[in-house]
Amino acid sequence: MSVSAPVGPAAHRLSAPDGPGPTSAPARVYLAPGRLYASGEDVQVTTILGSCVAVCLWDARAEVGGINHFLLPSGSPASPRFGDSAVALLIGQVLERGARRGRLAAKVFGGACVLEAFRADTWSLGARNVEIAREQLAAAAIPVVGEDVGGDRGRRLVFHVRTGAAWVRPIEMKG
Amino acid sequence: MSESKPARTGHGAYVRKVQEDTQNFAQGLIGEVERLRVLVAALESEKATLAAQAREIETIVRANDVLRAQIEGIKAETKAYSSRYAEVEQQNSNLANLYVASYRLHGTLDREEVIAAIQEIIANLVGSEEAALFEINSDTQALDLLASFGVKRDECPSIPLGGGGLISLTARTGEILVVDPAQLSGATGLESRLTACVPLKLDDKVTGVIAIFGLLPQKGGIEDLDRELFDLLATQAAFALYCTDLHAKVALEAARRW
Amino acid sequence: MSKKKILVVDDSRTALFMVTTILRKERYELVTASDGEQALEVAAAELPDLILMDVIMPRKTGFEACRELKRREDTKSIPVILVTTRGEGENVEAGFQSGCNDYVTKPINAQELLTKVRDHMGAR
Repeated sequence: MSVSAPVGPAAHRLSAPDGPGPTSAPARVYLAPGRLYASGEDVQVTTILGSCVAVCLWDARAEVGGINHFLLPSGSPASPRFGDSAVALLIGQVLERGARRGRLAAKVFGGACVLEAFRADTWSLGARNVEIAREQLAAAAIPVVGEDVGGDRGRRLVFHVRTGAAWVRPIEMKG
Repeated sequence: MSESKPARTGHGAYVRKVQEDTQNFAQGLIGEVERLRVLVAALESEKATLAAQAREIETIVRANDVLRAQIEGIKAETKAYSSRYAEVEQQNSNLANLYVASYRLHGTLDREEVIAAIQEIIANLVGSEEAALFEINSDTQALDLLASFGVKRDECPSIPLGGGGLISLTARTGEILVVDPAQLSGATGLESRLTACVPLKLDDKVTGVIAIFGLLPQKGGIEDLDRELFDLLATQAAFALYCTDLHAKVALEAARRW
Repeated sequence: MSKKKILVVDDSRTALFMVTTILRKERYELVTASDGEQALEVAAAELPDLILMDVIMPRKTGFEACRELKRREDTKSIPVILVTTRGEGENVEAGFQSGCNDYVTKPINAQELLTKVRDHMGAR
């Protein structure tokens, strides 16, 4: 499994810290690890990812979307902290807000692996997080239209829930 | 061949030629038939080989299906094991939490240390940096602030035991209260940010209340484990505080005797 | 194979005790420090395989200590997991900018901590 090169639309590459963003000023929300957020409002969600993975989902027609930020591939009891339940919980949340299953599209971010020695190892925590996200989305027949996963840096992700636009940039060491 | 009897001679030659051609043609046909026979035989044998291969492939496919089913079974089993493992690990984690909390509360006879331990338990194990510790003052029948973390002291005035808020309610009922946002509709000031109230109990007698306000942003809400921690705090924190008082009295007494 | 060594840094005795209680059953060798300054000393002396470090500490914060660890030749390759109380964006981002390799948030969850530690230790 390759987890290094970003695929899909280049629109999720962030050039400036806050990116171009939508024209009107959307509300900003910070998503803490282990939580999820879904809304049909004009909201821009920011989250910081290490080995964690965020799945962004949206229905462009209904202008409803959501994002999770899970820490581990699996766990119990079901919680947004664990990938094996976080994706289903997110799908439930966006459907509840008026999205239609058949129109959902997804983007997947995160899953960095910090140790060079293990980067090629598909069993690193980051890689397993990415794998479970893809697996869950495939099982729900939701296409993944963009991703930026793997690598060895933390990421700052900004996701606009209504349009599905996402900006992501690696966090470089400073000072 | 003479030119005087061209027609006759020509006829004979023609017949001979036809005969020759026919013979050649027949010979050719026989050869062709022979080749075809060889080809058919080869095809037959090929067919037999293919049929055997097909049977073999079928067997392999069937075996493959069996293996796939087995793999699915193993996968399901692995999943069940790993979820069971996660459950056990979660239980271990819960026990570790309770053990650490209990150890910290009873690891000292110093009152300030016990209060610090309560604060650290709430911050590190529950996940809140805003809490206040009240003690019942039996003379004034009020809850007096003993310590506060993350909230200003002047935000926590004494609360009459008979008051209408949730903190005094907890002191009266002696029950752990995990606040439902609906309960906060009429609340004002600090009480409007309440997440939970834990009574401090000594032999079922309430001696104080721990009020927990906002949770850390990454903490979704009060979970089962937190309720267990609250249970532990309710009895053990009061007891630990009581022990420090007792110890202080004993030490004072000893000092007086000397 | 010798035991892998983990340095746990936290000024809260409860947090330190919690982390060491969780990790102890995994057969790691544990060393501790109670502030950022001490963390640098212990890291240089012990050269652990992994450092788990709180952010808000006296003398030197987790950020400062992490930055320093990543600057020093002998300690820069040691992975650092920051333990943050404040899970807000700026804080976590500052953690990555200080060179940390990953982070966990308080209240510490044993499952999460163990999975991350095992991952960083290369143990499966």
